[in-house]
Amino acid sequence: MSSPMHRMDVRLKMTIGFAMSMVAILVDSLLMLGAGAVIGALLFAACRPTRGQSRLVIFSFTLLVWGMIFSQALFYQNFPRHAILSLLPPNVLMPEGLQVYAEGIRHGLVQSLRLIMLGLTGYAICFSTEPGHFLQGLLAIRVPFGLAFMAVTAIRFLPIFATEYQAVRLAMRLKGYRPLRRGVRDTIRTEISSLRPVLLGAIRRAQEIALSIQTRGFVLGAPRSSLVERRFGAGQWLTVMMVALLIGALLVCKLLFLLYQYQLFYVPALRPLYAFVRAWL
Amino acid sequence: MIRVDKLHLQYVGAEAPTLTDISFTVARGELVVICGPTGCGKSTLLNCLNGTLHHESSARIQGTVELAGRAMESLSVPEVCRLAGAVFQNPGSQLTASTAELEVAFGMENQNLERATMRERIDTALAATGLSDCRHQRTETLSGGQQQRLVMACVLALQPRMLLLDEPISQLDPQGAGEILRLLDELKSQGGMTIVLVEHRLEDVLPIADRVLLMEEGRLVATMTREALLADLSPLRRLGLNLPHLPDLFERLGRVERPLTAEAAPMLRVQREVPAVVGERGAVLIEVREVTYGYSRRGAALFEGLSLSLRRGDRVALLGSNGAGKSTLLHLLAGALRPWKGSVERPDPAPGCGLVLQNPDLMLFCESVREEVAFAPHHAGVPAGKAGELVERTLARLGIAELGDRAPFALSRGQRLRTAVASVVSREPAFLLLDEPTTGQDREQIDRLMEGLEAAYDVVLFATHDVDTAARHANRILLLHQGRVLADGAPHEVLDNAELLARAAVRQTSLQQYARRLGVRAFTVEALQEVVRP
Amino acid sequence: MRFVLMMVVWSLVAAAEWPAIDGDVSGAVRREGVHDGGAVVPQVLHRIPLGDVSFYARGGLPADAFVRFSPDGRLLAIGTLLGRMMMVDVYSRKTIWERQIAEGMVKKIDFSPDGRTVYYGEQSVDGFVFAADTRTGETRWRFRLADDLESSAPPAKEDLFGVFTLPGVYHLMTVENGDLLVLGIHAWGDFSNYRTMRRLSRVYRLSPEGEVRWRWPAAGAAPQSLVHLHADPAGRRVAVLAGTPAADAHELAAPNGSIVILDGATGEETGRHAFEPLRPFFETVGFWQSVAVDAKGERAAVGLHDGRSFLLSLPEAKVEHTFSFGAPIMISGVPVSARSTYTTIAPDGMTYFQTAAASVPNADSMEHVVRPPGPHPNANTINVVGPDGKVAWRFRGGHTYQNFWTSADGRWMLTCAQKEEENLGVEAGAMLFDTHRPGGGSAKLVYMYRVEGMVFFHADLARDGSAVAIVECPYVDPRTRQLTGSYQVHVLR
Repeated sequence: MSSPMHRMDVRLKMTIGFAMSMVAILVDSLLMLGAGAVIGALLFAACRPTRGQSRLVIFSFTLLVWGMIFSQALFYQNFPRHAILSLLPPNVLMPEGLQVYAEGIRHGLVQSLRLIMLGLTGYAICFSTEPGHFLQGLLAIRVPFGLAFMAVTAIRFLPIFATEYQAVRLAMRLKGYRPLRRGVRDTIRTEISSLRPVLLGAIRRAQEIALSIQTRGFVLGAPRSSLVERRFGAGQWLTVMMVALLIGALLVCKLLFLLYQYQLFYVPALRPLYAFVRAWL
Repeated sequence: MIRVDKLHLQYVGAEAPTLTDISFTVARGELVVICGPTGCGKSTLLNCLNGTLHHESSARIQGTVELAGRAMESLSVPEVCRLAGAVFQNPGSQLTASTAELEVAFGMENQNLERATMRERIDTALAATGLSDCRHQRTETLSGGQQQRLVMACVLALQPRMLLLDEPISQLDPQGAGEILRLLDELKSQGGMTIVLVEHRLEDVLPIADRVLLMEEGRLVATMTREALLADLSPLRRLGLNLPHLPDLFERLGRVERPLTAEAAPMLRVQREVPAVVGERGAVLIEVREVTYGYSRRGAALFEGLSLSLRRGDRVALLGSNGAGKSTLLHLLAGALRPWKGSVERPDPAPGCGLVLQNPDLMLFCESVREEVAFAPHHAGVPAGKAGELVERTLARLGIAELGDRAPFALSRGQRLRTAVASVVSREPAFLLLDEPTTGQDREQIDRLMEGLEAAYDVVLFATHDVDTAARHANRILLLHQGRVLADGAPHEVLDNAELLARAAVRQTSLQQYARRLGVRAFTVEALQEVVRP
Repeated sequence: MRFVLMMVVWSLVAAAEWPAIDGDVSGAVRREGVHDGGAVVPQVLHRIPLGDVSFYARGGLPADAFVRFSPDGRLLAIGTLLGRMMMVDVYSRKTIWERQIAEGMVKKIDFSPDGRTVYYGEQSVDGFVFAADTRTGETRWRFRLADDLESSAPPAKEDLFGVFTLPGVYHLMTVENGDLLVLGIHAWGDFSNYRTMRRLSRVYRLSPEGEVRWRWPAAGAAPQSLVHLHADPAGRRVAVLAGTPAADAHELAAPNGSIVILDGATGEETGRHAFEPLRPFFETVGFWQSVAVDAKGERAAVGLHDGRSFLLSLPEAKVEHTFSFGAPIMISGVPVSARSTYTTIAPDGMTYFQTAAASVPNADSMEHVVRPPGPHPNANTINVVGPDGKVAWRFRGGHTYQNFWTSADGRWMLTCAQKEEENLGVEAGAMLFDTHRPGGGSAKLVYMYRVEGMVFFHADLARDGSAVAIVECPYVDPRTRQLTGSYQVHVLR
């Protein structure tokens, strides 16, 4: 599989992922979050997802956005708020009735845009990065090998655990088990026990992996060389620096604004910056 | 090259020692097979040789283990790796990198080697294991045999002076196993590599072995050259191990020759033809009509217009190599998968069929064997009294009555398989489907299991790539290749057709090859013994 | 025949409301001497959009904007709630310059007498008074109120009224020598409970170079609201209305409900007068922006919440005339009054007073009567008093009037007018009066210019009376729930 996202250096991808998460945390403005979501969507499109992946993403995000907007629209508690639709008039069932609030929709949209931009970027990175590349990336940013190796190995074996869990479910079904048929307690007990073979399998596999890497001379913390040259091109450096600069600037802006808001540090000359943060970030 | 002297080992918390008074030596360039029944301590012994047990605190070890003249205690883990490379059963959990090249590099990176050296050694190791073309291939896309060869390449790249292999072919199909054995033979004969191999498939490994160490209950009961072992198979027989077929036959016939291959065996005279068993064919129980199915709707279908029927009394072996569609067909028959087109007609009422999955461990999720067996009747709504009776009967039938209160995951592999089967048959299905029940099991366990089941069910269908098991326990063979039924008939019809078997990438046993040379349709030692004159 | 038809149409149209004419319409302009029932058509010169304030409008906050003509009437300075400060050429319709005040609103604007400097005051964390070049907008100096009045935390993004908790320039006027009078107020805390709020206010006289000539109170900011101030054009006397004390006030600059007279040159107090509450209906005295000083600095007009209006002699700090325009009357046993809200003394010596809509005094102590049982006869009325202290004329057209602007000769008077009727909706705009016309108030009304949205109390009249600027703000029509009107300035002739 080759797509622009697949070809991108994993460190760059990690930088982008980190940047997007920072934006999602720091930014509150609907427009900027919308822009972030668009960037997320572009990244996702750039990894040329399969139809199944696209379906998964569209389905999960539609559900999420709908759920979030709808719940926020109904249960928005802040003021000012304006009802744009009345589902239940006041004093029917509830003293306030059930209203759809415009500000609630907006708030829900902000929250779901946050999740969308993060989710799409995350999906794009996951769908376009092999665990091995991920390991190389983590090593390249000086994550200790032991830690990176553990994380990546855990990720690599996730699909196997999923397959094994499916097999367990199948075995249970073939043995006549149907959830809730024999009562809630029985179901909870059975559902919990369904994890047992997978956990045991995971432990066994972990032991096997440990044995395998130990017999290939792996010692935690010992000096290692690497087959892969982790060369990072000038263009990529530039991009990383730009992204870092952008995020750094964003962080500084937000920080200055917070200091201003909580009356800890204020310089009149920075008022245009405060206004910019208020309006755009 | 290897010297073990008075080795005792007891795991912390264990009641009895796992290894007792083990002493042996292995010379340079020698290939030694360690053999013994399940649980005899073979793998533990091997882990003493590869140093893993000396570098942790889970066991108390006494005695001497020396590699190339150096005591194990004085060697660090990387030093052991440079001396002895270790290969284990399951290639899937030995591979950690994304591509073959990175996988091979892993061990050398741990040794902090130069990049150029690594590249050079990767080239050599991949070439030696025949994987040069797979250099950038993702490890999970390799076949089982290729994966195990890759593990060997990883070990070879470290340029060890000896190889320690723990059942490296037990999880592989015959083709994969053949690849590994050929490779070992080459390493031994061309590179002078010292090899210690734990394996119970003696039929496969004896042709390349120099010596055999026989173990029983943590002790070394015999150390024999191959020839000495072949001369007297009684220790193997006593331990219930898989016997090499042709030596077994010749010993039964009272002959002195111990040929390991059909070509090496002297031609015996056939005194009569094997009587063709033409069983009466029962009523059709399962009808597969024009079934089309595949893994992904976007890809090509695996089965296209597949039709077959299973009759009362059928003992069907579903033969085929990996990827032939054996498991998928079983899942379709069990109703676990729904065909895209066509239909699978099963008898009413449910439960029509019981399916035992390839990995029986995934079918065991209860706290005790008895609970496991009671699970299906409980969920089928069988009244408690009747269910209890059913559970006890099933436990007895599968010979695990005394294990009723044990935790399933604490049992041996064979016991776990039988528990899994019991948990399925306690539902009293009319027919039983087993997915590769022979994997990792020794012959005695297979025989015990199969014989108990054959009589009890209208239809027993098992998928396997072991031709010997198929010959011994089936009255009908379905030869499957890439989703197509290449042959469907009685064993003597199907197993006799070497071309068809070859097309399906199924390997005949040496015995079958020999029978073919003799021109008789006999596929088990017992059958051939009947028809040839000593 | 054609002529007759034209005349019929003309009279029909004239009898109905006369529509505004947009753009260059030759002829149909306000002309001197047009009276005796003749129609005068306001000519719209310009409509200047001010930005999107729908967020505020939907939240129920009328979006403020301040407009001020330059002394020669050629330029119009506009400052908005959103912090835009614009200088517009009235006749060429060009925006000469524009500045964006970050994190604040433009509250008040005035020009230097020579028209070269424009002063504008903001409400923000700093509460700056800026002096800028009229032609370029370049800031010459700025003066920070927050140094005296303290500051508050910037409001949260969604806080509609948060900006009003910040220090701001609540009044700003230049006097003849170019000096600047500034009233700074900072009121913060819980707006829903005014008794708990904290307040600081101070009056400043700044030189054209931004130096402080004096501050009042000299010792420090007054812990109360100094509601409004006014001075004569020469700046000889400054009248300040002292209002509600802060929750933590110990010593007030002047008692709540008093007028303080300052010497314009030194900022020293020369006299004060404390108004007595109109008991039993009112326990305290309250003001809105209702103080005006006449051209000579001898007399001040004051209106109170209890509906009374006064003319005071400034040198003596004594009441000369008392007018009970909106003072309480009993209707069905319930007192009803109308607040006296705005006042001005025109250069020709005429004093203008306004009364607001009828209300029940101390309504919070008579909760069951929120709406007055009947109209106050003098509610929503413009009362005009001559120099002799006698009412010269009145005007009442069913609208509520807010604020007065008069031309330099006193002839033209402009006021914002708005009425809301349950079935007809809001009628809002501004009314121009030719006060020198003979006859009563209706005869002096030149026109009412209507806007689609609502008007607050922001408009201006050029010194020569030649042009009018009116601020329109959008509001949510309670019947349709739609946002009605635009945030814009209408410039008329």
